[in-house]
Amino acid sequence: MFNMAASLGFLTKSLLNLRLSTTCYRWIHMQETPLNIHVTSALWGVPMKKKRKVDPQLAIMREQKKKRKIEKQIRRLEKYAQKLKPIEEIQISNQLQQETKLRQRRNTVISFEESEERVKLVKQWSQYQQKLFGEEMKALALAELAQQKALTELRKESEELYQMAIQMDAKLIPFKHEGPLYTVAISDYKAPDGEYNDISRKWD
Amino acid sequence: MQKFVSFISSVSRLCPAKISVNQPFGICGRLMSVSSQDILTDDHSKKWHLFSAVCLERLPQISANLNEIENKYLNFMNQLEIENSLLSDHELRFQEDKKIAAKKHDDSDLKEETARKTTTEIEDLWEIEYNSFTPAPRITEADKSNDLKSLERCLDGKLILLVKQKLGTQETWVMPQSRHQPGESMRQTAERILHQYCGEKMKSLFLGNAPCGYHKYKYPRDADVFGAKVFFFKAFHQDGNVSEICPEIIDYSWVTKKELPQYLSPVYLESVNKFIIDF
Repeated sequence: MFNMAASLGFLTKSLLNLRLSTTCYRWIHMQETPLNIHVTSALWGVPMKKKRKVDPQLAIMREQKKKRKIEKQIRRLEKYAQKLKPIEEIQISNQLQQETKLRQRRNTVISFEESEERVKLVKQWSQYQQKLFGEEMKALALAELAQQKALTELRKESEELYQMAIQMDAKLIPFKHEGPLYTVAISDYKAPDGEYNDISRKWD
Repeated sequence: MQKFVSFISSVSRLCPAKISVNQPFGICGRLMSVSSQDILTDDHSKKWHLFSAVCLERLPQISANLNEIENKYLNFMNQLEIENSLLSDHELRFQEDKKIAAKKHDDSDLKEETARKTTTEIEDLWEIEYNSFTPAPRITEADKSNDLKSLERCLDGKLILLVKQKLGTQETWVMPQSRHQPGESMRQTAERILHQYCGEKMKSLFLGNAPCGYHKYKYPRDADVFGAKVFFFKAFHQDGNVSEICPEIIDYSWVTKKELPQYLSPVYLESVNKFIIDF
């Protein structure tokens, strides 16, 4: 009897002290007697949300819209992929193309004597160039012969020295040489100050 | 020079003349003493001394002057270029200027000053700007004073370094040369010569390991050695002049190919002319 009263008393106490019990997820009792009343976490349960119904046609439309958008992007990319970077140096601008008639030079009439003179000059020039070319070839052949002679003479003296002489010179390549110019650079010349503006367009 | 020529002819076997020379020809300065090792003694077949020489060239710094036909053809090409071209912006502007001037002339009321610059005014400005800069002269001070030791002379042609060296008893103008020493290649000898004769400041670029030319001369008959075989190595001058003259060199000068005959003996010149290409 006492036992029963005691356990009831405990129950009321625990019920009254609900706030305390809520902090526990589980009630683990230390009593020797079994207790059949439990306070469980099922109290926190929430009723399920109602599922929104989507119109199937609308869903299809949406999907198509997405698809079209991507297709458009692809088309745009393809369009620009074919377009090459313009080479301004060899393209004649529209303005210039329109002005070609305006820019025609009134050709001066060349007299017969003048044209004869010109033909003669071209012939003279080709003869002159041929002469130069011949001289150059001759000089090169002579130089080659001189080198060959030097090498054979060296071989007669010493095979070892000859072998050293015909080795390749790796230090010579790459060979770099500047000039000749019309006038030499002025030493300790100070270039006047100026701003450098890069106006070339960028193409990515 | 005359002495050298006469010497060459005297050496030929047909000529019985004998010159007594204490030192064999071609042994210079440092290598004056001839050790028994240098000469491979073989009484029946005498040996040759091997020499390396450097043909140091300073390449043309400026373009050559045009000759008559080149000038004529250049003018002709320029003329053709103008005839075949279209009018430029500047020329169009000039035409516009003419029109404006004519209009002004017609009605005298329109004589107010405009901000527009005429083409002639612009050209004047350009000319002033052009004249404000003076490029380096094509004919330098060294040309005017005929300074043969300067690298600034004859900028439009090739210059070759010649040195006055004591070969045997004579002082002769040659390309810097020296005896080959055991253990080095002919090119290394050539590099050593340049370093030794011209100082540290001289920088050059050797063109390959192979010699570009060859010259031989004989010593007097009573010498133990036949003579000298000189192998030439070509090098381009890059920087610095001959800074300190070493005792082996009496004098030096930078000469053009055309000036070579004034310095070299005809025989030497013939061997050397083969590989000096200058146009």
